Amino acid sequence: MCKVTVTTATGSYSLNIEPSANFTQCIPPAAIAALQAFAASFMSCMANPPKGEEYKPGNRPRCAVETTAAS
Amino acid sequence: MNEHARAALEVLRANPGLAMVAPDLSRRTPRLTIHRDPERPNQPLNATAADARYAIQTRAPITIKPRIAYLNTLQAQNPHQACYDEPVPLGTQIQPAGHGWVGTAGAPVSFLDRNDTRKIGILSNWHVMAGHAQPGNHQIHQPTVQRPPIATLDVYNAPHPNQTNFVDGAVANALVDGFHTIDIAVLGIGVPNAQQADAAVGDPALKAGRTTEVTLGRCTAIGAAVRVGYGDFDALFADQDVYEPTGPPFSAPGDSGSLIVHGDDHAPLSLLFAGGGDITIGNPMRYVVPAFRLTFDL
Repeated sequence: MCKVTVTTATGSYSLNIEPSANFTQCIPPAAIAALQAFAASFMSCMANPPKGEEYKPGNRPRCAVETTAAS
Repeated sequence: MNEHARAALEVLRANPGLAMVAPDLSRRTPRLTIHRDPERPNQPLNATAADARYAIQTRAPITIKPRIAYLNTLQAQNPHQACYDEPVPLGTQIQPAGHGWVGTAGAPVSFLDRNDTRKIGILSNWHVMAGHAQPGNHQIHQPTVQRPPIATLDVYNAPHPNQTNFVDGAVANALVDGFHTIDIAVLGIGVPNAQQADAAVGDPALKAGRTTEVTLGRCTAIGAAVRVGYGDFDALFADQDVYEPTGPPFSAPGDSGSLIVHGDDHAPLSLLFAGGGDITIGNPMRYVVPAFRLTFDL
């Protein structure tokens, strides 16, 4: 019996897995639900990634300002 | 990368004397069009497995290089070379600190940095904004180093001579003292469509760049393999978009970094990075977007 733990932003999901030729048969129904919830959350985030930083345009004059940066 | 792009790359790899190999699927028998490089003369044309599947057609010789320009005057020759107060429009001239070349600030984008922090910045080329610089201390000035910086190099994807390349790109963080220095519009084109698209042969294309300003062209090939001379090394690029002018030249040195959009709906198609003669090469957005985890939706 192998224990696999998947940790996401929404929580941890643990699975107890036995070696099997048919992987899906060895996953308990509760673990399948956990995997499905994880997959749904992941795909939702992929489809609608958070925008993060809000665009805040500046209005500062810059063309009358010279720099001393070396070229 | 589909089978035609792989075949083009196979022929380019086997032939050091070629600058570009592009699929042409417009005829009943698929073809690969080849362009010899006059700077690599006296190279034989080597047969490959692709010869059994494609007819080979030779077109005009070209040498493909990154499209940067070196300043010979600080005087702006057109509006895309002028200095702008904030918010600075894209499609205008930029110069990285410590270097003598200029290119184009292509597009405003939202991107993820190495710490998975989402920021807003300028999409352009690695060879325009980075060269061999390290992120974090490389200022990007507009239009030249004579004026204050508008961004700091943040992430980049550099080409290498010993790999198959797809993107010559970089993004610079445009947040300075709490405000973004850039506009969301490209000078002469407007706000790009928030959704990028794949270029298709025949698509009308627009771009706004530092040297040739706003130009109209057409996508003439996709899936092209190109050999780009970077000076101290050559890099092979695969599955690239090819554009040619429908009137005046589509691009020239200095236009590197320009955003190429679809002529009808302004969907971002490619990142302009190289060219030769009448040929302009762009990295497809399907490679650029995931490379920097970016979006055009600001």
